[in-house]
Amino acid sequence: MGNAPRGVSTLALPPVTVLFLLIPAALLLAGLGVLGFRWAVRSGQYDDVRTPALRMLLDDEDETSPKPNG
Amino acid sequence: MIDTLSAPAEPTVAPDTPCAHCGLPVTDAPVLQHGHAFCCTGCAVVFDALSQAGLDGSYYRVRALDTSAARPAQAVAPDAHVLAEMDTPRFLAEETTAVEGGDRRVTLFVDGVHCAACVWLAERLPAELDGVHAARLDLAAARLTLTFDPLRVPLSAVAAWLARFGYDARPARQAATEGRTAAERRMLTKMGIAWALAGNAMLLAFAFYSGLSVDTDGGLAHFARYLSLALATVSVAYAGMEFFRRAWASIRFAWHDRSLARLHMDVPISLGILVGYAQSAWATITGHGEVWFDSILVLTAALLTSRYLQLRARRLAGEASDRLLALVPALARRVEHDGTEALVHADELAHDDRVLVQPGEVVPVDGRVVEGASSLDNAVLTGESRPEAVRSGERVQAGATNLSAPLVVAVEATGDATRVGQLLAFVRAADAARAPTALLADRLGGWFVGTVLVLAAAAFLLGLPHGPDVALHRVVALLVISCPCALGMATPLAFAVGAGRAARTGLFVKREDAFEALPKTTAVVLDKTGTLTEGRMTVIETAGSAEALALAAALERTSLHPIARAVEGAAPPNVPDATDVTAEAGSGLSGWVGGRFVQVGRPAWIAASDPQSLADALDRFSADGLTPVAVAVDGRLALALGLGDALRPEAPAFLKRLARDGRTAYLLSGDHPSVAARVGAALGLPEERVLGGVSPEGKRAFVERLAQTETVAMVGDGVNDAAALQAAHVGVSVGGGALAARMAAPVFALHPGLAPLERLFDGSARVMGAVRAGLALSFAYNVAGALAAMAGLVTPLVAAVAMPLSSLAVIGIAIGQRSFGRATAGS
Repeated sequence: MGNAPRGVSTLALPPVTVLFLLIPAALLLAGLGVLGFRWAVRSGQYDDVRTPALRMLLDDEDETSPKPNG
Repeated sequence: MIDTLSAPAEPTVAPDTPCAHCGLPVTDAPVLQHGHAFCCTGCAVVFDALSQAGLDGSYYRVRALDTSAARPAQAVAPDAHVLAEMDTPRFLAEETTAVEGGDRRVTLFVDGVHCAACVWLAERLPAELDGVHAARLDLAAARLTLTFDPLRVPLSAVAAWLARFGYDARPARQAATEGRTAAERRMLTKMGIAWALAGNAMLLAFAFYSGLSVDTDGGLAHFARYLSLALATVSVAYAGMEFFRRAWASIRFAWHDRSLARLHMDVPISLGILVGYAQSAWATITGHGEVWFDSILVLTAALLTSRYLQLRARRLAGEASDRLLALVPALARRVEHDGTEALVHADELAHDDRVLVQPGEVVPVDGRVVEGASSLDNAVLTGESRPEAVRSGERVQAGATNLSAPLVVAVEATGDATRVGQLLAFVRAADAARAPTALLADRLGGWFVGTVLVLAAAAFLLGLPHGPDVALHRVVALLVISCPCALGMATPLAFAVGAGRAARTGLFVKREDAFEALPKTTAVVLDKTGTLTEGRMTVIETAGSAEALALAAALERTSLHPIARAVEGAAPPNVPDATDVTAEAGSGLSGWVGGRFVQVGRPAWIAASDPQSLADALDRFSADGLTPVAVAVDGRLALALGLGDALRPEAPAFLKRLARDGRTAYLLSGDHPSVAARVGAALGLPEERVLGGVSPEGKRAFVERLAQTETVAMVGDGVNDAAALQAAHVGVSVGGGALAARMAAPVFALHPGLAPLERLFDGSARVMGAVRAGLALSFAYNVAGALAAMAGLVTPLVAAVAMPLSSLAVIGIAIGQRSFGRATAGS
């Protein structure tokens, strides 16, 4: 009790040091998210946001006649 | 007794029985087929087509799942010219793009799609037609993207297949929509990046608000500040540029005019962003002072969001108006020297070429008739609802519909050189030249800048006793917190929400200033044909025997003429068959029905005046501005009909409403003055406000003159109204008319009639209510913010909380507006 573990005290850095690494890592992740978003916009996924919601209602595609082409 | 015998033996169907296809009441004239009752033949045909193709079960099941479903499509007859054009090599080369494997991709506008079942049906194309490889429908824009193999399936077969189910497919001319889509995607990307930057800046700011400070934790605090600076630099340079560019343009404009009033809202927005950024960057580098990065980044992102929503609302309305098709058909039947005919593009025609126009087709060129006699429906160009007889040697104009017999026309002008082409060219040019009207919020911009600068000076002077540092801090705080974020969002958001709601009820508002102008409208100029009236001939008055009506209908059934349609429509459903029917262009029809000789046509052509009472009736109809039609049986007059364009049932109530709202109504018609006078009198309009026989150019001049003293709304539906629609403060084109009018009008309704207009007036008043409420709220916020900043109460934390809150309140007002769908759904 009262004695700090030896390994930590010898580092002589405040315990928040890890933030120097975590913040840039978080920003990097955010950057990846932005790249993904940019890709989604460029490939037109936001051009029509209404029809896909209805398309999920259409589930019996192959009941009457099979599609000749995929 | 006789009545029950003559009526067909039908099971009785109550008038309120829902139609088996569309679900609307079948009324008292149902179409009965295969044990189902339909409201019209169109619905019956689609029902039939669906069940024959074995698609009915799924179609109706999927449609039942989609609660947003409106009235489904009715069968349409595809335009032969459009179909023929789709298969030409030139069309394939110009309007389709190659994809791998020799396939082509094309985008079609499909009128009539409205619900999940339509998506299902249209996207079944690959399974139904061999050679179609993929079909994708964008419901909101009504665009169908197809991948197909032109060698295995002609595009016309696809269009014909869609037409069976009531979808009218037309080629979407590409260029315009692509530019809009690209701009919207750019803005969306920009908005996404701005939010990502703002979110991360907020996370870093959290550390400062929870106690991280440069004085106590030097390294980390500096690190966080520099990172924020980096994020903010990207956001200001990339996303903020959107505002700086427009602000700069407005400053140059104001400088040129030496007028502060010219500054618009982007100027104070840019000022706030730049001052906040500069102060924070300085504080980061010098190591003391406060940083506002999170506030200005959230502000930038929020403003971009409202810009994006505005752009999107505009695109949806713009795309709807792109469904507008070339009025003049792109193809014409050229009669070659050897007598054969060839389908060619209208722009390949030379002066004096001969063009054949079949009955039912639209005249593709301006020219002179060299062969044949027929009657033409010129309503699209002149608004004249009565067909006009043409003979050899007479002039015809592009856009007119040939009604009765084939005509050969010598070409005098094609394309933009035709009269209709010139009208459209004017509309296009005026549309491009028209400066966007500054919106209410933008007009406040200059005033706002002035006030903020005065307040900033006051804040500096008030802060000076506490030292120059404090004074400067207060100035920055004031400039940041009174950055008109909410003010900048109030108007575009309210408009975007209003336009979106309006679009769902079939009203498309292409330009936001229409919302502002509509409630202020003092004069409403109404076109007659198609707007106040049904736009087609109907039998309005009859005198004589009902039996003769059935005999006349027997003859008229063989003709395409609108008079024939009207007579047939007035007759009982079971008419006998006629034989040996001959048509005399511009005069009438004669033939034999059950051993009796029947003539239907112009009174002068029939030349019978016995009995006198019927001849008098014909004269009276003529004097009333109706088109008299006489029916003679075995050489003796049997029936007198007065035909005209019937008033829409809701027209009188609509005009009363306009008068109650203090708006003056004018009736402007290209039709004969006597016809205009009859309609005006029926509506109780004073004579001086009813003008007949006005040319398209005259309409434009009238509206321009009126617009000098009043706020004018022009309502019309034809090409003849297009120029006047453009000249008015607000042009509204109503549905069912010429699609070209939609291009000219900042507002257009998909549905015919006057009901959309009432909704438009109500709705735009409510939209403006939301705009004003939003503006008032953001003003209150800005005043409070400025006062607090002068008192030195504004810290970055206060700004970070207060600014988004004020924006949220404004968003709430915009979304909560009770306009269009909202207000009418409950009633």
